[in-house]
Amino acid sequence: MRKRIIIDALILLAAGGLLWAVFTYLPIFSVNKDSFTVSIDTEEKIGKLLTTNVLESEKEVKNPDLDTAVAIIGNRLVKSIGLTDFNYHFRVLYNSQINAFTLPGGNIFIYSGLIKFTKSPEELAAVIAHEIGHAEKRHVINRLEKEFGLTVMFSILTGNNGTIINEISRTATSAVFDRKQESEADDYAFQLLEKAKIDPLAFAALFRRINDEHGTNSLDFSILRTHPDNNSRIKASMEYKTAAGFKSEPFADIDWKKVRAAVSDSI
Amino acid sequence: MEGTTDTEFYPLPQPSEITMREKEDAMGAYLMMFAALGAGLPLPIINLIAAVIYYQVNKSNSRFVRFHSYQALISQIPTTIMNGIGLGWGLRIAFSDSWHMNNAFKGYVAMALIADIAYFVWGIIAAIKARKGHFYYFVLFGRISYIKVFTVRHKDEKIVTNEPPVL
Repeated sequence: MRKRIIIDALILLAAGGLLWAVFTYLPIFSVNKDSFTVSIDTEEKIGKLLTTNVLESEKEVKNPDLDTAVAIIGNRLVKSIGLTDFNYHFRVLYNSQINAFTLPGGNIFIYSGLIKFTKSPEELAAVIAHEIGHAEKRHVINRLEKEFGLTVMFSILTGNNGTIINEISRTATSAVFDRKQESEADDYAFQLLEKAKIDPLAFAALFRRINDEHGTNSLDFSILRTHPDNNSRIKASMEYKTAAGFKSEPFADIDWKKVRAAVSDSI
Repeated sequence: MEGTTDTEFYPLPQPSEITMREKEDAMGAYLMMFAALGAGLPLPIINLIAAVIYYQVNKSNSRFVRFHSYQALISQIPTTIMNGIGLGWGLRIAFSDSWHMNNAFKGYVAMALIADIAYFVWGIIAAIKARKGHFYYFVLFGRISYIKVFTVRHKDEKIVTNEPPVL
């Protein structure tokens, strides 16, 4: 009798758990309301195409110390995202600008100038987390879709139209998001950093230094360019409350001096 | 009952032995629950309170009514807890900056919704069966209710005082 009751209870629990898992992990609800039209699969294909295009015109920095460091930081963040539609790729490009950008499909590019400017792996992690925020919220693909229309977006997948690809690529890399999107990506970054056991204050530290050293209106820094009010962004980062008992874990395996030295040679 | 057990159970009353009043009271246990659920939607606990009251009121009623009242009461505990968690979770998302809408929450709401609909359907079936004087056993809760209501707890309860005449 007791055995049957236990079996019944287990059946009910399993049924409930299964339903929850099915509705959580099957992509039934993962349709983003801002992007009904471009599927993840299509976004990945577009991302691949644009990545190839970017790598044709910009040179990728290859250095073992740098590659390892970016992989460690990237992996820690990606692991903390939880369920994601994208296979993230992080690449460092030769460019003195203090900047990073995201291409569709989870392709994140970091300029060597940004790495040179950061004082710790945590600061780089803050920028990468912000870019992951743009990718997860599908800001880039939405923007391209708005700017070029769906027909053009799909046309680059079917035909080889170099001029259009160049144009889309240029728009994607310039990455001008509206304030709401930036703020969404920031919020996402704070949470992701916390989940990855990285102090979200690294975000404020980096941005404050950019502000102090280069001013808020410097056009060289497109991370800041879209924000007339960077102070509120820094403030938001400082006001972000981590859960009680939060303890950051330093990147013990990364020698940041070596990483910066690797990019200093490249600029 | 299959398996070896020393537990003794009272015999189940058959439809012809159950009065219309008892059938209606048993049906009422399920219907009342739905009415209270509707009335107490913002607070999913109200239906549970109503079921407890209904069970207490019918405690001295026949075992048929008690069975259905008890089954109606305990079977809504999981859905009540589930709805309560969903409500709390939703409120946290609405009012807290650090909680966000995610797939786990959407999945949870979908799961709770399906559980509520399934429970509603089973409740209706149970109410119709009860009205006909039938027993209807929910998974898990049917067995628990049967044990609770039909187990012979005190042997003296079963002392047969009234005997038919020798025929």
